[in-house]
Formats: sequence, C-alpha cells, structure tokens
Amino acid sequence: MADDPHLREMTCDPKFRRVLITDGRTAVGQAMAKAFSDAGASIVFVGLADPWKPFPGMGSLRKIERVEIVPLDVTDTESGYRAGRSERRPHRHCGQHRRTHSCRRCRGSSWPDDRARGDRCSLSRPAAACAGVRPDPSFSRRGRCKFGRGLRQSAVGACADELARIRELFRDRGGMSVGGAMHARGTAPGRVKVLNVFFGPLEIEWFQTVPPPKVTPATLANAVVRALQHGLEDVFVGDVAEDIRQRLAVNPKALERETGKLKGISMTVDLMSFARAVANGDIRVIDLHADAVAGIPDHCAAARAWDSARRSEWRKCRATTSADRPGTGTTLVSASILERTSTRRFTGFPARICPTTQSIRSMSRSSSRRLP
Amino acid sequence: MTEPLARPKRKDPLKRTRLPLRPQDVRSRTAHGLTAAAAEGRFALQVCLDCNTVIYPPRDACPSCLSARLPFRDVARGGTLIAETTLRTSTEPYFRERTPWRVGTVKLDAGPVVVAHLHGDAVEGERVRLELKLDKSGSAVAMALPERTPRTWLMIRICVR
Repeated sequence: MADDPHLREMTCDPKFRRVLITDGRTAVGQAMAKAFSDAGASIVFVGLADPWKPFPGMGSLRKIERVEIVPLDVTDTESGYRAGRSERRPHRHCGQHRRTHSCRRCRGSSWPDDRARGDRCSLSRPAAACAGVRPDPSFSRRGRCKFGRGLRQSAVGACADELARIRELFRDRGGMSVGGAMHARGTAPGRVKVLNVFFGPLEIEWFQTVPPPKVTPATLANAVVRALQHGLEDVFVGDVAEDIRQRLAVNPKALERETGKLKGISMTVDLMSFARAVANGDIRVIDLHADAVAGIPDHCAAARAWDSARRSEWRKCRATTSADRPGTGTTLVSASILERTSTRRFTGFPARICPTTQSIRSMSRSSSRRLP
Repeated sequence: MTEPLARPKRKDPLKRTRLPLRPQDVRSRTAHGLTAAAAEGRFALQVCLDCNTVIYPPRDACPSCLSARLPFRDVARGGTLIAETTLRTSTEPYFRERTPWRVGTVKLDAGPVVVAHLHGDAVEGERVRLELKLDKSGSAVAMALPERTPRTWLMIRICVR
C-alpha cells in the first residue's frame, strides 16, 4: 500500500531512498541508522566528524545493513560540500547533544554561541550542499529520489518553555526559525522539506538527572521513520512532548506562564527583595542570567548562581545594564558569570550601580555594604 | 492493485536530470487550518459552532447559517468514493509528468463531499478513509485510501510502533 506512486508523492517513505545521518556518534544517530535501514532505505550514509576516534556502539553501527560511514563535520562547510559532491543526500540531523549541567562549569561565554551556530548550520550546511538549496549540478545523479526531506529534532522546549532547558530553548527556537526559512525557500524549487520532531528528555547519559518519562533513542527513531512514511511535518514524541502539545493547543499563553515565566517572576521577586536590600532601592529588578543565553531566567539555575554569588568566590564578573529607567528607580541588570576562582570572597554589591556597563568586581571593591 | 515498488535503476548520466516541480500551492488564509492538521497527521475540517455543520472547502462563513465561528475540529475520516476519474493530461507541469493521475469524489460520513487524490487501491463505490497530506508544495491536499488495511501495511505499522 505504501508503494503506491501517488501516495509516495505525498510522503517521504525511506524505502529505496538514500539517507544521510549527520552524527553517528550518538545513541540517537545509531538508532536512526538502524530504523532507516529496517525501513528499506537503499543506503544509509552515517556521518562521523572524526572517524578515527572510537565511540560506544561503533562496532554495532558498522554491522547495520546498508550503512556506509562517511567523514562529515556539520560545522565545516567544505566537509558538507565534499559529501554533497559525492551524491549524498541529507535526510536527518541529529547533532543535538543536550547537556544538563550549568554554564557555571563552562568558562567563557562563547560556547553557547558556538553550539547554536553549529546546531543551526548543521541543518543548513548539508542541505545547501546536497539538497540543491544552492544549485549543485552534480547532485541527484541517481534519479528517482528527487525530493529530500531534511529533519531536525527539537526539544519540546522550542515551542514551550521547558524546565531547566533554557539554553536549549534559545538554540531550538533559532533552529525552528531556520527550519521554517529552509522550508519556505526550499519548497520554492521543490527540493527540501523540514520535519520538526519535538521530544521529551531522552534516555541517554546526558539526561541522567532528569526524571522519567523519557524517550528511548529507538522510540524516537521509529517515530521519525513513521512520520516520514506518513508525510507529517510536526511530530511530538514522548509523554512530555505530547503533554506540551496538548497544552499548547488549548492555551499557549498559559503554558508559557506556567512553565517559564512564572518561575522567572518568582525568581525576580526573590532577587528584587535582595537587590533592594543591597542596593538601597536603586535596583528594583535584577535579572541574573545564570545561563546567560536565553533571556528567560531559569529559576533553579539562577537561584544557584545567585546563591554562589552571595557565598562563594568570584574573580571576574561582568554586569551589563540592559535597561535603565530613570525616575522610576528601576534598573535591570544582567550579569554574566565569566570566571570564578577561590582567591577572593565576594561580599556584596555597591550601594549604587551605574547604568553603564561595568565590572561587578570593581563595584564590589568599591562597595562597603555587606549582604543582608 | 498497487504494484510493489521496484528498486530504482541508476540514472543514465548522459541524460538530463529532471528538475523538481511543485503543484499549485496557493491557499486562502483560512485553508491553512487544513495545513496545520496535515502537518500533525490529523483530519480536521471546519465545524460551525452554531449549527454543527461540517464545512468543506474552508470558508469564512457557514453556508448553512452564515455564522463566522468556524474552528477546525477533528472529524471522522470515513466516507464513500462515489465517483472517480483518471487524468491523462494536465496544464500543470507537475501533474503533466505524473499522469495518469486518479482523482475522485468522496462523500464523507461527516457530511461534506470532498474532491480527493486517489490511492491505487481505492475502488469506486466502496468505503475509503480520507487523509490530509502535505504535497510537495507544502500545502494540504486530501487523499483517499482504502478503508480496509491490507495485512502487510498493518504489519509495518505494528513494527514501527
């Protein structure tokens, strides 16, 4: 039934189609390779950034039928074009490592930018190289499979603020907009479609501390294959994602408030009272970006960071004034933690914070007030 | 009956590569409610909140009571294929290179009559189930599939679940 030519025009059944998986190093990528092979794909190209580096599951990945390992680094444009010139076709992107630790363990502030750039472009680079978003005459020599379908996975947080996934939100929202743009541009010549997969926490090591229900990589892979067979465009996998979808359909604003904003407000209230005490009323709202990325404060992470700001040692911090409203006595401060050492004990904020950008360290030096 | 798909042969490299085309994709703003349903695999049509009439094609006012309260709701997708025809040629380049193409008229159990693309196994006068699919332009179209699921298709669905 699925072999009907009219039906195949409306779907993207992997049977006799070629698949490129951009990251075979992950459990999800390996599950995808297995699922696509079982679904009858003619060849499953699995990209590996550094094939010489061993990884768990390498042996079983190579044993999967019709799997071919190709060197591919999604953060390298030339790598994508090399793969494109050798008749490869992008099918799905799974370079979505999700890390649950706080940015406090990550030094510097460029890492979220690097990761966001890599994740978004990991979809667009191979698509540009292979799917003819940019015309490439060397492409599709094998005929028949004229229509590629790019695939990107999103956390459910991309459309609804998920708990403790702030920086993922930033990245996934960017990815969704990229996916939408690719859809708009890609369907113009009729070459690229994008399948958005929203899933809850995965049953992988990066979600060690996240409680169930979780989604196993095999479940995710089978859901993706089934979505392609049915020609879907938005797929929600797992109980968490399904719950978010239903709540989003009923009242998106309530979902937004319940999952993200309410926590932000409660955090702001805590910080506001604190700030009022330390800054003598000049600071009404302090927005401490614990993850310094999304702009949506995460209650737990921010509370932890704020706690460490009060108790532990800072060497260098940066305070950025994001808004100053003279006359109202309200100053919004966004602080990004850059580096901490144990050489100096942080004691407090100054009585007044200049609305211009300055260092918390210099402020703390000039401060004589102690924390409440 | 649908023939099993054969493994495609390698393309002759001396031949010109056929460029991808897309079917007509202009839809009204209201009709994109069908697109939203098709993206998630649901079958949703407009249902009048005042007189419960199921409406197709999408409209801005109910043809029965002129109400403007016409949200999209999931409705029963079963129906009967009351007429079918086969297109041998078309002025659309997309369909022109894919003929013969079957289309038919489906009388839905929910009420309206829908012009739909036909699966090869859909037979005139028999029961079909209608699905909303996204065609290559990304717009929603209706496709009629045979209501009775063949055993092989059922096995595939069980396996992927």
